[in-house]
Amino acid sequence: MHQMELTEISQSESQLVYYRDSALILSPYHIKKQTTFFKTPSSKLESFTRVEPTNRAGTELKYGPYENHPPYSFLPILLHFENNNPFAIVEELVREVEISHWGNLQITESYKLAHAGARHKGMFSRVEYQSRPSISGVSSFKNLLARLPPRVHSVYYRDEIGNISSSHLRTDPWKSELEIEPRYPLFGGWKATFVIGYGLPLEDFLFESPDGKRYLNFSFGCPLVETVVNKLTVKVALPEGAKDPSAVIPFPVEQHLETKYSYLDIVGRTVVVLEKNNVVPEHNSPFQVYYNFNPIFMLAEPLMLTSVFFLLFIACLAYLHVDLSLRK
Amino acid sequence: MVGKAEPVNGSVKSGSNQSIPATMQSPLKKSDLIPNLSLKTLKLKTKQQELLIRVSILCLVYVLAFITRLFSVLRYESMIHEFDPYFNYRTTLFLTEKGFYEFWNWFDSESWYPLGRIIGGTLYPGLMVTAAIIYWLLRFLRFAIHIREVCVLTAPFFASNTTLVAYFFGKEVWDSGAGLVAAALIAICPGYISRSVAGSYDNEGVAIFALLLTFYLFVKAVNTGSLAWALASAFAYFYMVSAWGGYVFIINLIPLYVLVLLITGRYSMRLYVAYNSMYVLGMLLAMQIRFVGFQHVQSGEHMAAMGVFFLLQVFFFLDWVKHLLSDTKLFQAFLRITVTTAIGVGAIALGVGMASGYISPWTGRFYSLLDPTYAKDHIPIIASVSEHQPTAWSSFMFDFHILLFLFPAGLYFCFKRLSDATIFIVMYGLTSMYFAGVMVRLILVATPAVCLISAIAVSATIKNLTLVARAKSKVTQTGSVRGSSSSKGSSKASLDQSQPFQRNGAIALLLGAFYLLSKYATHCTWVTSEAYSSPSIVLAARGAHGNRVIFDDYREAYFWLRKNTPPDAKVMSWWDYGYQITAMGNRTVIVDNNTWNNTHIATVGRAMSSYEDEAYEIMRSLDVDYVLVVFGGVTGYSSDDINKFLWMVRIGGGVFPVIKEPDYLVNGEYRVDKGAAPKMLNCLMYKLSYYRFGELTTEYGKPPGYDRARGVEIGNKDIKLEYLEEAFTTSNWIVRIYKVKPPNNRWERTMFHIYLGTVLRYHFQAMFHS
Repeated sequence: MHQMELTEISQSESQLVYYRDSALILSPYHIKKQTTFFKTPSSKLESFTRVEPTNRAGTELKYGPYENHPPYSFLPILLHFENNNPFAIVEELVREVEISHWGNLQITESYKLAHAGARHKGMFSRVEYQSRPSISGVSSFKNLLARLPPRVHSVYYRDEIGNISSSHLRTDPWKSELEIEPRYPLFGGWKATFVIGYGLPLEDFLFESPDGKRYLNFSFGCPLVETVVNKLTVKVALPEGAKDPSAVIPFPVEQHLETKYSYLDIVGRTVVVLEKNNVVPEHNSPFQVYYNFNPIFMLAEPLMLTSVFFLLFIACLAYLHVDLSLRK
Repeated sequence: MVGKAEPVNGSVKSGSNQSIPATMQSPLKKSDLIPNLSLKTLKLKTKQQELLIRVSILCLVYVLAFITRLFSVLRYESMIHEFDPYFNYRTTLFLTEKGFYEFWNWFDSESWYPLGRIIGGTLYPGLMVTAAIIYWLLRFLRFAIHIREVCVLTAPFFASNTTLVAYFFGKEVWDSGAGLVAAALIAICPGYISRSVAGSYDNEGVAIFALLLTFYLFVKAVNTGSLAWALASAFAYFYMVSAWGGYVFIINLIPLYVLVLLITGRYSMRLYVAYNSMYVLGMLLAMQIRFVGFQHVQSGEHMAAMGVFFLLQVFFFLDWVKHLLSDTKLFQAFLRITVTTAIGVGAIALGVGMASGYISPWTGRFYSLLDPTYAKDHIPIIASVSEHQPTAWSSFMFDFHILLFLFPAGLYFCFKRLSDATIFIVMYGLTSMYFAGVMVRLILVATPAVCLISAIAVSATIKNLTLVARAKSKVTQTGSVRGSSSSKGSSKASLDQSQPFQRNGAIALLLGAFYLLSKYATHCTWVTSEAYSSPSIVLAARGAHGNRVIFDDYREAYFWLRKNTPPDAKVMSWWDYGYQITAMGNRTVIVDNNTWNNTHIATVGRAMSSYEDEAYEIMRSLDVDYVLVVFGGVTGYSSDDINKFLWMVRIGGGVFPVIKEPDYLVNGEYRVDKGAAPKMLNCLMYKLSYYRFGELTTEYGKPPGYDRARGVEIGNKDIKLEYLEEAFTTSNWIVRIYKVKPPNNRWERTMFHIYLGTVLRYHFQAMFHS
């Protein structure tokens, strides 16, 4: 329903948007009396459709009261106002959850972030951006908030060319908040990519169902607050040796399986891939992945390592004690 | 004290006497079964202990050499440092993604626009192939690591390997004690660490290993006369050639060494076998590297090796004839004829080769090594690089510390015990010290030699001192037994009298040596942590409250370029940032750190030092979309483009005489404030650096437009840009990117001129008709 008024604005301009709606709620019933309030982010309201009675007071716009309207009646209105809220959208997000039965859940999230507001036009002046923050670059944004699960540890925030040092993590026993700043402020049309990774204690997310299966219980959506994800891919890498994976999600998604090789894997890990387009914060609901797992597989990698070192020392011993020279 | 010490010694001895039977008991029980073996193990007891100590010291040194180079990873992050390593990283990435053949045939259109660069044929692939092989091996062993981690840790890994080679080299030249000391010294020597910290992914990282390995194997071959060692050294040489252009040092030092041995009459069949097989096979292998190719037999730098090769054949031939001819007079005559013909043929061949251009003359870099002032006068691009400057005395002290004093001492020991091996190490030390004096970066080449020679000094001194310190107890014990019987009683007594003083002196000297060595260790650690572990991409400073402030502006700008400019955008910057822009920004650059085309760099230098409209013409002709400058005026970062600007002027002026250095100076002085030269105040570099800087207050109590890097208020605060516009400036202003405007305005203006012309023509026509 939001629509950009101008497709391009310069640094000092603020962003104006159109909003189309109906002053009456779409209802199959007869409406006896209705009053509709619209609240705009700032008092800067360029224009609005008048459907009498209409009142405007500061940031609030009041339509109505309207009385006695038949079912499915429609009163189109068009608001034109300033909206400098960050228009951050995630064009693509890949969340990878790797389960280790040694007690850790490793999450890696790679984001492709874009400012989907009016495109930035002309030059970017740092001196104006720094010295007049209230006027200059109001439509841009420079930080985002990610809500992570509690008890999060070893958090990192980086991109293709290295660590990004501008981030803050606040933790308390109930939630963790990660405030991240992309390397540069994002103006309309500018893009940034980054990766957030963190570890979580396994016992908070992995459970055993009554029939002996294990299941992972994790939230589906994007941890960034108030952002829309165009394409979300969730990958759950099960431990090596896990069998019969099945995913339970409260809404329809595309599913398939992959194989991934991580540290010291021989047969590879089964990865359950869930894909969904157009994900909104309402999709932040938990989903489950069920699988069978024999704990003996946990020992495979330590045994492999010990046997390699054992063979190495044996080889050393043999080399020291065996005379390999041809001449006596 | 002494009286007390003896009972203690005695008790220790009795203790050890008790312990030896205790350990002996178990083999004794077994000895019933295998009598021979138990005897053998008993005999080897002390030797095995020594082996155990030696191996554990080596292991510790190996680990130490690795971990002391990790400061930068701990303090910053696992990242690639500086400039050239970014190119190496980019090519390694390409190699691991596309495979070897693609890499070998890679034509890179992202650099040196519009010329491009044939990467496969213009680089030393050793480093990239090494990293890729390590990466593939680890992947095969299922270590799911990123290639970046491999690249970051390649240099420390090879530094660790170098310590092993240093040990064996020291063992070959002197003894295993010297080898151990050499390994320990080289593990932490700042001269080597400066180029091999984690993240410093550069050719030198593996090349020093290859260099030392080649030398070690060659000395081993000369000592043994074994074909196997000579061939091994040829292969090590091949690895060196594939890794670094510094192989020229090897191919000149080894012939020189052979020549010295010939002159000093140390010619032997061992030398003949070692040099010939090493040279022939090494040459054939080196020619397989595309960047070297036929240069190895054609260029002037390699002629010494070939000359010595032929000389050795003549020498051998003469030796053989001398063996056949019994008459010395006849041989003398024969000698005269052969030597004159050989010299004549050689001189003619060289002359014809030089005249016909078959043998290429020495390159500028080589000249600048032999004559330190050459580059300054003739090749500004070499002289402009800070690591090509002549070395200051202080940086010798900084990089070598006590080794600087131990080096002459070691030379003394080497001369005292001359052998083929010590002659080699002495020559290596002296020549490389000369080169280290010519260029700062060649301290690196001298470091292994300095460490080895110093290790000889340390090891020999400590050995002598401990012998003296230990001798006392033995002498007194044996002296009391022998004293009455032997005829040397009197001399023994005199020795005994001087003993306490000598022994105490020895102990004091030993303590002094350990004090010096521990000082060396602390100095090295301090230097590594303070001076050599900064990635130079990320700058760190102390804030007002003692907290650490990070300036990550470079990556901010490069990442902005990467994400927010068209993928085919061309970026013009001074060549220093070329590799970083292509690797991190993923955009095409006009010039980069390869500096193979001086004219192209001079064109960029000319654009930077011209007025904006002239620069615009140049930039249009090069298809430039963005211009990137580095500016430190806000943060006080001094190695920015304004401070490098005179080099741009010089390099630009070297090719285009329009650009004259005096235009930018006032009375020979370089300044940016009000008193600066008018051309300076209006050239492109000045405008781009200081655009809208005049509005900014950088320091409290200073006027706006105060440049903190140079400590002056800038001279031109009202800068207007006509053909460019500011596209991005990083948060601390260190990197500023400008967009070159499309030529719309100019088109309109030309249209106006055409219009004006037509109007005038009509006007004139009207005038004539009337």
